[in-house]
Parts: sequence; structure tokens; C-alpha cells
Amino acid sequence: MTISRGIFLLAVLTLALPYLLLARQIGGIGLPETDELLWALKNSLYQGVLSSLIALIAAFTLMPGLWWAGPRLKGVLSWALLLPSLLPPLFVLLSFLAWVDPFPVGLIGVVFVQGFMNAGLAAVLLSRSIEDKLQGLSEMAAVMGAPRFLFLRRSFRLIVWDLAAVGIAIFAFCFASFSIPLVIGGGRATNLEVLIYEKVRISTQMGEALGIGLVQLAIMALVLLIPSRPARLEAARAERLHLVASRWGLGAAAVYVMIFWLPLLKTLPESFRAIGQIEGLWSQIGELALPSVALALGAGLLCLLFLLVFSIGYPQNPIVRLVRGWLAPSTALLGFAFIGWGDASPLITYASVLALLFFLPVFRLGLDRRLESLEPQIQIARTLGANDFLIWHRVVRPQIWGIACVLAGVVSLWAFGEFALGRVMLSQNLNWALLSESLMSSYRIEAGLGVGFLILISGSLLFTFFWRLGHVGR
Amino acid sequence: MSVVKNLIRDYGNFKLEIPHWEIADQGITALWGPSGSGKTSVFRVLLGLEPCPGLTWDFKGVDLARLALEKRGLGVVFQSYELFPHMNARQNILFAAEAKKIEKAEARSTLSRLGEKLGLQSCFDTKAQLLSGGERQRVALARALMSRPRLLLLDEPFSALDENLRAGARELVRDVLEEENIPAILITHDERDLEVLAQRIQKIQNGRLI
Repeated sequence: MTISRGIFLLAVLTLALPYLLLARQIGGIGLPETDELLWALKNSLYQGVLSSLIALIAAFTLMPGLWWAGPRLKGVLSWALLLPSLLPPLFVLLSFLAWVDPFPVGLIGVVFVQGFMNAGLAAVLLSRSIEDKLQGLSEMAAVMGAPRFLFLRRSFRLIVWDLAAVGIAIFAFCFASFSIPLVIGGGRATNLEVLIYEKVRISTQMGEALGIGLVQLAIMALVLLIPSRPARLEAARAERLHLVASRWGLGAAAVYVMIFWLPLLKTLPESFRAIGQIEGLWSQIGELALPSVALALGAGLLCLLFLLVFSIGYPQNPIVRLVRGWLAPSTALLGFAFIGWGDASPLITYASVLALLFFLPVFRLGLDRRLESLEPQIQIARTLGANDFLIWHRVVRPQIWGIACVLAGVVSLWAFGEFALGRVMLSQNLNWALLSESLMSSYRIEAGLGVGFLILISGSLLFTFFWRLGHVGR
Repeated sequence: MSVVKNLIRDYGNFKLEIPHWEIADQGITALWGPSGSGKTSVFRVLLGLEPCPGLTWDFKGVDLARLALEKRGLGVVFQSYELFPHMNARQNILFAAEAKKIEKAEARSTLSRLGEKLGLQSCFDTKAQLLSGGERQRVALARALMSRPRLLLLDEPFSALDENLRAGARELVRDVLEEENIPAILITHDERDLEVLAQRIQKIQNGRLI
């Protein structure tokens, strides 16, 4: 067996493990009553479609600012816009709960928060793919004196596929979203994912939970089958995009960043005071500090391992196609599959499941295109007679190490703030994220926010650790 | 002579149709044709980068088409050179020795010989990204030669160079290949390449040899 075949087998087993465990634990598959299923499906569809629409519309107001900014500011601005989607959903929730009062619990609230959260991501993804296509055209149109609106109208057809690709990606995130509908959906916005959670945790109808999970997977598979043309990989010149760049867009981006940060910062002193007012909370925070860091660090390191190992043998190894096409089970089902595994060592089990949960999205978002861009180098290495391991060790690994470490850092940040999976798997508050969610659920929002700040600070330090690792370990 | 048979591949809007082609196993054979004639497709199929069921390529009694890409023992210089950007010139060249498991002492002596012939000693420690166009081309050639290929494939190797560098580069490549005694297939659309380098010329048009 060659190395790449062995790795492929390992990947299949790793990704299939939750399904195998579920099959072992559940006797049969069932479905809830049609009304209940259709109602949750309708909510999932509404949440997916409306959130992605809001994100795309908002992205169009943010993108001109990205194009207006010079290369250095653009880098900083891109990170600032990405933060709401890179940070755990907990922060977006806390930010909104801090400044929207009373908060519209239900479908509107879920759609609003998810749309906002993904707007920056949509703007960054879209601006990059559109930039490649419109750079030359916009310069030519500007020289010809074409008005901005005419240029936008005429070039819209060129970017329809990019728009569709980003819209579908955000739809997929929001359609199967768990943590946000769980906390602010209330009883009125129960989507398929929350329904699975309720079936697992409240009514213990496991067969029905699995049935709903399969319905959700089937819909996701159909959506992801919609063909999307990949964007070109060449980077555009680092110049402003004429006719579409705008300083107003820069203003919109600044407003977006402030909407996210200002409420959080404004409530900072109050939040820490609130922690002090709850008896025993500081000592509980102290007790959970080490497990919180260990969990996040473990999830990040495991994810780094997955990213590195699964890139061996690219592109001959069908693993990339597997990872691109693989649909992970819902978060709630993933958690359920591993219930009971963590009794002896909950930290190790929970960190592994977190890595399994976050590995696929970060691979698709961050590593896939990077590996694709290395394909010509890999081909030349193969013609020179190099084997899979040598190619990985000398050509691929040094060039993906930096990005893999950043992605592992993102995973550790997510793991720091993830609470929904923990709610399914664990019966105790194992880390700060679960503690923060418990506080929020019991309407002690300020204290929850205070714990959230601790997560943010520690998560940022951990992210910095991974980022530095990416620079030293090449 | 090596003999290629059944190089037939349908791309939908374009078809390669080369039922029989004899390639000299000495000197430089040029595959010459206009843009879109199928030169690069032939190149990719011969290298093994694209599948071509039914293809046979008898090279001194070995059917190269049945071997995996890395076992064919071919050297290659792509149009864009495809140097490993994170490595310096020396590491790029020595990668080929490592891939072929050539002994270190021997690799070092070949590196020194090739470096001298190709005028690369001064840029051995320069990162690939920082090399000039001419240096990149020579490093790519040295890397291909380091792997001791049974046949070298050159895909428009001078097209990325300035006109004033091309003449010198052509003569250098010709001389080095002669000295190293390695047969080569040169893919080109430039008639000057044919005049300076090619011992034999095979014209290709619309996917067929003519």
C-alpha cells in the first residue's frame, strides 16, 4: 500500500467515524410528523436564503471600500471584516444582545445576526474573485469615460457565477447553523439542526434525529451540486479598481467594524463588574481556565495534524475530492455520536470532536485553493521522479505550513468559543464557552459577556501562538 | 529511435490524432507548429500529465506509456519553468538528485559541473523568486539535467526571455545538451529556435503531424 493510499483510507475512516458510531447507536431511522419536519425545513430555508441575501447585499456596500484601500490598509481591513465570521458566534451574539434592546428573538433575529456575521466574509471572498475579472475592464472603461453605473450594468453578467458561489457557501453555513438559532431562535425559529438537538437532548428520539439529519444532508448535497465556476487563481495587480472603488465603501466598512466592536467595548467594564457580583463565578472561571486553553489548543493542534496529513499525495490522492464533496453530519448528530466516549477523558474526546467538526470548513476555505495553486510544482516534482512523501516534505509542506498554522489558529479560536457541540455532548460546563452560554441562557448577559471577553483575549493569544508557529516551523 | 503509437485524445472541441511518430534518440527534435496546433497537449500526454488510453511509447525496448509519471525518467523544462519558490537555486537543482536518490557526493559534483557550464554559481544561494528570467531558465534546465533523464522535453523554453537574452540562451542549451549527450524534444512556434537548435523538425497542425 502506498503512503497516499494509506492516508486516503485513514481520511475515509476519520470522516466516516461519526456515521459509523451513529449507525451503531441507533436502531432504526425515523422521521417526525410531517408538519413538524416541514416547519423546521421552512425555517432552515428561510434562514439560509435570507441570511445569504442580507450578507450579499451588505457585501456590495463593503467591497468598494476594500477596492479603495491601498494594499496595506486592505490587508488590515480584510481581517477586520472577516473577524465576525472568524470569531466564535458567541461574540456576534453578545455584540447584538448588547446594543439591540429588546432583541427580536425568532426568525428575524437569527437572519439579522447571521446576515451581519457573514457580510464581511462575503465581501472579502467576492472582492477577490471579482477583482481578478474586472481589473483590466474597469481600467479600460475608465479610460473610455464610461459612467460607473453603465460599467456595473454591463459587467454584472461576468460576476454572476462568483456571486452564486459565495451565496451558496453562505447559504450552506446558515442553513445548517446551530448555535445562533439555538440561542436566539426561541421556539419560533427552530430549524432542522435545532430540531435534531431537541430530538436528541430533550425527547431522546434518536431515530427521528438521524432521519432529520439525513434530510438536511440530502438538501445540502443538492445545493452543493449546483455548479459554480471557480474563480481564476492569478492575483490581480495591487491597484485600485477604477469605477467601482469608493471612499464611501471605506466608510461602510468602518461602520460595519464599529457595529461589531463598539457595543462589546462599551460594556466591557460593566461585564467584569457583573462577574464580581455573582458569587463564586471568579473561582469557577479560574477552575475552568486550564481546561479551556487545553481544549482549544488540542483542537487546533489536531486540526493542524489533519490538514498536514491529508495533503500528502495531492493531487493524485483522491482525498481532496473526498474532502471537497464530503458532507459532515449535523453538529448535533456529531455530538450525539460521541456521547459516552468522553466519560473517562472528556477533554481529549471533546477536543477531537471539535477538530473533526471544524476541519472540513477550514480545509475548504483555506487550504484547497492553496494546494491547487501548487499543482504545477507537484507535477514537475513527479516528473523528476520524486515520490509522494518527498513531494509533500520538500515542496508542499513548507508552502502550506504557514496557512495551515493560521487555519489551526482559527480552529483553536472557534474551539475556545464553541458551546453548541458541548451542550449536546457534555452535561457539565467544561470550559469558558459553556459557562458563558449558561450565563446568557439564564439572562445574566453582562456576566456572559465578561466571560466572553476572557475567551476573546485568551483565544487571540492562542491564535497568535499558531500564527507565530507558522513563521518558525517552516 | 523511439516510437510513439496511438497518441489519440479527444478534447471535445479539439482532437489530437497521431497514430505513429518516430522520435530520434539523439540530438534535438523540434515539434513545431502555430498556437493551438496541439504542441502542448502532445507534451503533456508524453509526460504522463494527461491520460491517453491506447498510447504506447517504445523507448529502447521500454514502453514508457505504461510507466507512472515519476518512473518515465523524463526531464522537463516548462514554459514558466515552475521553480519551487521557497527554495534557492541550489536547492531547486538538488531536489532532482534527492528525488532520484543520487548519492550526495555525485550530486554535488554534477551541481558544480552544471553550475559552471550554465553560469549559475553566483546565484546558487538566491531564492527562486528573486532570480532573473534568464537565471530561472538555466536553473530549470540544470534541475532537469540533474535527474539524468533519458529524454528531455522542453516546452517553449525561451518564450519568457527578452529577445536579447534568447540568442545566447539557445546556444547555451544546444551546447549543454550536446555535451551531456541527452536527446530532447523541443516544443516551439519560433523559427529561430529551429535554426539554432533543431536537428530534426516535425510539424504539427490541428492535432496531426504533417
